[in-house]
Amino acid sequence: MIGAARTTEKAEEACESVSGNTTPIVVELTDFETIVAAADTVRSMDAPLDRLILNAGIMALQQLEHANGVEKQFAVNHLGHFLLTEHLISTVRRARQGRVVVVSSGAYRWAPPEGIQFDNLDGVQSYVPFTAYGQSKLANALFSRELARRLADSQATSNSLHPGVIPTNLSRHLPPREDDGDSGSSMRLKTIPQGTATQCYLATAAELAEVTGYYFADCAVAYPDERMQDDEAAARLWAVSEELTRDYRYA
Amino acid sequence: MFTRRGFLKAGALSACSLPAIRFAFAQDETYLPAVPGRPEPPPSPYGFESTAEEVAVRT
Repeated sequence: MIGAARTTEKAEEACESVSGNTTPIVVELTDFETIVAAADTVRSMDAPLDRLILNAGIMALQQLEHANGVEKQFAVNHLGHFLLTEHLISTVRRARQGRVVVVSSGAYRWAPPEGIQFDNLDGVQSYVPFTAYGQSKLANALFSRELARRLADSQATSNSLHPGVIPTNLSRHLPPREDDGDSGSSMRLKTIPQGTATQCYLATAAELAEVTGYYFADCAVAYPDERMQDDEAAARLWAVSEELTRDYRYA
Repeated sequence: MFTRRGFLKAGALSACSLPAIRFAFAQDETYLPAVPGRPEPPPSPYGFESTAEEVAVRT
């Protein structure tokens, strides 16, 4: 098991929390150099990659920030994962039945009504924190869908998922709110083990060996709206992502 | 009679619940497979409260 995190310490801490052979690596998704270096390390192990789980993310930055020329949530949540996958997909293809699991979110519904705003990826025309987050999560699912199509000639699969609303540090960018003890709005929160169930299900369930290109929630297939089934947008997103990462792509 | 604090709280809770309401009622039961010909996902034995541990035990 290879555990990736933004710092060596966090990666080692994550690896030490599980049993078995583990390898910590550093991946800072806004820093394409670290993505390339991490992927080089993984490929140098010369072993097939059975599962690639893309679950890092940031949410609702209150002020517009940029990374690699685009709005930062799009850069971290989508573009960094895109580049990492591009570098590692050959090792996933080598696995007996490789799987890519992309952690999207039901928050994709907060994306612009027309879908991804390709003319506003830097957020300069307009920036609403949760709309930008929703757009990045829509990008996750469209990326998974296009990847599934591109893997159709292999045993490998790609599926995306909504993990649920989980109390993690994903919300660290939200402004502090007054807590008056009324938990009424938190009734649908999941625990962390519950929130990780769907990605574990997609990564391990034998009955999903041939299932690809779907979106899941609560460990079951879910049916998203038309924005997440837009193959034209998915293909365009792929092309735009290639262009945005062109200096770092895997030769 | 709403106090100002109560009014603000009610407004905030309503706003917070909007995405959930939209999520609940906007489910589109049609889905175009990304890769035609591949099997549809089978019924799942799990639900909202399932945990990673439960998944691990079964698989």
